[in-house]
Amino acid sequence: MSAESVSLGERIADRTDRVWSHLRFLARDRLALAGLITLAVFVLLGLFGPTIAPHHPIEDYVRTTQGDIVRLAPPSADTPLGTTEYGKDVLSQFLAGAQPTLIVGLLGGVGTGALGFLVGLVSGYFGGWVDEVLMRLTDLTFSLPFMPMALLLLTFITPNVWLITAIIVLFLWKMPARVVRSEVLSTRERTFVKSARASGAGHLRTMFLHVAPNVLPIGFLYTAYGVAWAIAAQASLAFLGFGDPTTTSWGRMLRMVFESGTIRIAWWWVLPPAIGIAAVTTSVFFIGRAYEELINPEIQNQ
Amino acid sequence: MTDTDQPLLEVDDLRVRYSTSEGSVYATNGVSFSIDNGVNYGLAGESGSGKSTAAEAVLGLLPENGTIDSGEIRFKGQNLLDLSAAERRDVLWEEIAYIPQSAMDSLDPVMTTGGQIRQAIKKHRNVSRTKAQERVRELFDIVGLDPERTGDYPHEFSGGMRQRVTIAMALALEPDLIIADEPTTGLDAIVQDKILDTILDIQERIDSSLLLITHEIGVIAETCEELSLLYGGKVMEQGSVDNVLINPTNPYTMGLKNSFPEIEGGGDPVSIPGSPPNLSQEPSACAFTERCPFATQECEQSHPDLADLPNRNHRSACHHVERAAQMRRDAAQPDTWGIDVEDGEESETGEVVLETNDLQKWYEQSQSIVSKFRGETPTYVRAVDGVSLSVSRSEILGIAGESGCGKSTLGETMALLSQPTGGEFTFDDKPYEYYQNGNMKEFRRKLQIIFQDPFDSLNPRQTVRKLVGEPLTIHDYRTDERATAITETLETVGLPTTPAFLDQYPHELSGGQRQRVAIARALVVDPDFLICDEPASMLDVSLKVNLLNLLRRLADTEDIAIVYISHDLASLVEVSDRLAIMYLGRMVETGAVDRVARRPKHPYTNSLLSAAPEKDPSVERTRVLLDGEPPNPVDLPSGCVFAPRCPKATAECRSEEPAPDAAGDEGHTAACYFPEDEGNPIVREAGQNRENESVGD
Repeated sequence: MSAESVSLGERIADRTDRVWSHLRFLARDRLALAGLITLAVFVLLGLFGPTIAPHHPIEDYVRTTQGDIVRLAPPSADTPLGTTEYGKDVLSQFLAGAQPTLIVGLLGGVGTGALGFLVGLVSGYFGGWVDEVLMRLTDLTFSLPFMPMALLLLTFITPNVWLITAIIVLFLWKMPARVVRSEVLSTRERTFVKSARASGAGHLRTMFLHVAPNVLPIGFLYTAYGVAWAIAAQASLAFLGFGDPTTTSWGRMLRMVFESGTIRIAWWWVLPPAIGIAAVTTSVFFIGRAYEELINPEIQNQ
Repeated sequence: MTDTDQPLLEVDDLRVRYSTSEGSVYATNGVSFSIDNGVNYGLAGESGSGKSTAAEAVLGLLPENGTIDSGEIRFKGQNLLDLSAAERRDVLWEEIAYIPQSAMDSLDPVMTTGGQIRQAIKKHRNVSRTKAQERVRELFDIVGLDPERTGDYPHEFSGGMRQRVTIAMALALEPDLIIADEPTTGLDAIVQDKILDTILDIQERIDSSLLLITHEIGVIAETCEELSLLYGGKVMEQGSVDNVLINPTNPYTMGLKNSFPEIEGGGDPVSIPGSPPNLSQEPSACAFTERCPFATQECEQSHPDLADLPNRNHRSACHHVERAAQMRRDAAQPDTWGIDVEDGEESETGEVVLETNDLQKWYEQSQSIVSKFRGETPTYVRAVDGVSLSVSRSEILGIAGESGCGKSTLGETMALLSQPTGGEFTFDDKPYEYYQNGNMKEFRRKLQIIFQDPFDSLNPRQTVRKLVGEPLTIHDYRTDERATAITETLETVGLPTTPAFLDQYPHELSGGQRQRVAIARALVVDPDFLICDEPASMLDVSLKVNLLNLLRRLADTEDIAIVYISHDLASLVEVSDRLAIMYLGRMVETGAVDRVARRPKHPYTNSLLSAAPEKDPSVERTRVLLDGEPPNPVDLPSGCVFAPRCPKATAECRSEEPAPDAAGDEGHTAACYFPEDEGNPIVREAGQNRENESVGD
């Protein structure tokens, strides 16, 4: 048990073992497995999408052998997902567009979950004026409508992926904070928390080792929601024309197809980004649900 | 008992199986019993014995994974299992009513209590609202509630009164059979006694039968005429209560009866060692073999059939019925069960560890802003109101009282989990302020508290190893020999120390094991002082006795001072050296356990003692039923707080509060002007008159 006798190597091996056993557990749930695969594909797309794209998504035009720009062509052998109104390759846009979606979705979601969880935990655990201050702050962010505020900010500052992520986190942490706080309020009244205090545990230990693990499932669920929200929010911002103008994202693709007025005709242009967004957000939910089972020993054994 | 040729309810060879992801659990394995018209029938057994399953099968309320493999449940000759779901519903409530286990929570909080009963009546009977309302008033009267209160909401009633409302509801349609699942569990002795009294009273007035499910043999002994004892899903012994409980012929009955602690009567209770059988397959041997000291080869081979005993209404499932008399004698001896008898002599009590002097804990009631602004003095709930006590090493001080008397608050205040609002208390000769000024760690190590609910007092996300090891980390105590410390402590409390056990989570443990882990958590840092707040209230009888023995041993061998808080006087008498009786935040009587239990001075102690059920049905118990409920601790009466309910109270009692040592001598004091054994009959009579007066106003 003593920490000294365990070498670093053993510890790393132990960790990897655990991660593997977690993954194996998730893989037993079919929906979660599907989610895992989708997410893995998505992460790969995010990392390597721009490099494997056959054309540059914005600069390159798809041309016929005569040199004419191919506009709004349905899928063919040459262009597997067709072309856009402006003569760009949809497949390349789809592949390259995964990257900003991944960054915003992952960082935005995790940021939302983590910030909200911490605020909710501290607020609920300590109560009193700490709770009062944090919750009024939450109320404030609730009262600010997300879209108009984000648009307002983005009109003054040139948007880039990181800025958009930050704005999303700033506006979305309130959701997990509220829910986690109410969970903490009921958890901290449970006997084992009192018992931990009575055995001499300090506030930090009680909060992070006794209260937090028991509200973690809610935190995870809301992180999963956060990923979905962040992707949707980023897509909406891009759709409204406030995305990062220098890169392609799935939201921006939808914006373009809408702007060009061909949204009713060019299904090959609409479907890839739409399905992409839907698939990623759904798989995050599936994994979140299965993960709750994993970290809750009570459900696990049933 | 009316004599009809066919019994009201007949359960015949009932087999219920639960399918879980880890295989089947055979909950009942051929349970048969029958209830005649107008009979109170008891179904007893430890948890996991299948008693609730049997009742749920009768009611058709089995959970979804439960299936009835075979057997018949005949109600008035009709097999209930052949009925459709809709027909079954009609039988339910109309003819079979049900009082669920947590009946106090089973009322709808947003509907008046009368309205809820009325709804049940109107659903099944075509009557007018006024007629239904009349019936509700009548029912309130039957169960001993004020008929004027039918318009009140559940939260306006106390726990015991809410229980009466559910009984009234069960009676609403004059069912032929009432099934009550642990109707008094969770209520304290006085309330339980009143409810039992009501049930018996109803029995006389209405001609319905009752199926009472409980783990407390005493409750059955007092209310029922016949009973079945279940173990491992099998009936071990059944018949008339008098026969079975006075002359048990089955080793299990003997064990259960002997482990039931009693206030009076000789000898320590003897627990049954071991744990209930694993029911993952149908028992092929006698279900009790593993724990039975009389088991032979024969017992291993088959479960005995229920055999009629000659000349009596008494059946027993044991291969050795003919040896019953001998077994009865042997079963009373602890060594028969393989229990080492520890030397009976009480160890010397050491120096005083904790002492309180006029300790107070008042809670301020929330005020409206207006009254705050006006500067009105806030009102206080006086949960602990001037308690003086002392506890020495190796001593167990029992604190008894009804729920709401402030005994748990006292425990938490002594553990400094809540701030005392007045008075002083010293721990290890240092005032509590010393610890609060930077020496809290020391205090938290030396004084440990164990809470009531073993199902909630362990963090569900930690393994046994982490749970027991955590205090070591917190206090940086024996960290270099962590594993040894954990193993040692687990051995002390009698838990396994295998790695597999150490890696288990609380939900994988039984109730008794969880409570032991909670105790191990407290003991691992070698404290000097242990506060136990109702640690056994949720455990089965034999587990309860184990726990009491464990605490006794800790006090004797480890020199720990223990405060044991409980409403269960029988176990307090069993475990404590001294006993303190608490009423509304004050100690009304304190003294050596024998003297308080055998010759109580305070009338409140007397009524508490008389409220404990008797396991021997032949003993007639004199009940001292208290009127009313404890007064509101916000608005306490002047004078003796017990005066409004006291049968002997006089004007003096009402005007001036008796000092804690108004009666008695050193070693046994009571806060009473007219202590029981010194009381003269004239005062008693005056008290009677006074009581009549107080009823009038």
